[in-house]
Amino acid sequence: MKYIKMLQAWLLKTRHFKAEVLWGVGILVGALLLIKIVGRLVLGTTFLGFGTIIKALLLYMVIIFVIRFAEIKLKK
Amino acid sequence: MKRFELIVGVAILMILSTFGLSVHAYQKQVVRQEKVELQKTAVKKSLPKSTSKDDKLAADEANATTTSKDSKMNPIDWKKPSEKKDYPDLTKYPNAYLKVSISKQRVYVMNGNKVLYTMYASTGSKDSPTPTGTFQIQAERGEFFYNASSKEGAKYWVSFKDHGIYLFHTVPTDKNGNFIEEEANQLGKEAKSHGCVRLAVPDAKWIYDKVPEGMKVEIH
Repeated sequence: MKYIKMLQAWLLKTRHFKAEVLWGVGILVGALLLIKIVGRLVLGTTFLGFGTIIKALLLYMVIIFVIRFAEIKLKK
Repeated sequence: MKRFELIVGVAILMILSTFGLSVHAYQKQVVRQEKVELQKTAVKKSLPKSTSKDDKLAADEANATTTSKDSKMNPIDWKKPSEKKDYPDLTKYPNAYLKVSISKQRVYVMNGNKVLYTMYASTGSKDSPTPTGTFQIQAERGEFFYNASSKEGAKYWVSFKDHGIYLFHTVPTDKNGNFIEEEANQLGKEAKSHGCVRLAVPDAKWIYDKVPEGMKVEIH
């Protein structure tokens, strides 16, 4: 319960959009790199390529900026 | 919902979907590698030659010998030849070729514009379609293979593309070589294979025994 509250407090903390995007990108790239390394160690072959990580990152950025654009439009 | 929660949520969703796609791609790669291994271990045999190794297959072949002069098609039965007439003698037709119709789920043995023999077939499903175009029968062929990842095998396989990847073969079998009736009954009706062309047992055996390397294969 204590940790859930900590997580909620962290999520609700006010941040600049740039900081939020950086956190999102960090989580995404960090997790994908972790999957890539573990995949390589377990399977002994390329489980997740760098190309796939870059594509996922680009798609993520597109989605995030679409959300931001929609947010600005709705505020107006 | 706060914007940051949404951003983190989308990131998690992207991680999960990328992981899922990678698992799917890896599985496909494993299947492909297994088929390539199969091709490497395949015994290149000289033609024509025919042997039957197990009793079940011998029984299937006994059914296959029932032929008559009537040129009409037999009802769809994966244990029997597709037509009632004899298979064509390919030595008389040096320019014969195989034509696969995906829309009709048939394989035609052609000589020019003339159909010499029609076979019931089952081609690749929507997810793994049979490649279309013009190919040639390749050197790789064998009496049995089993693919552990798809849990299916087949008898009397003959490669027509990618050296052991795309094949003509019988309706599918389990690892012990027993035909899977549920899948076999879709012959001539539904495209259900993983990209290969499934045929009735005697038809596949005839292709395995008689169709030489280098014969043209047209798939539409």
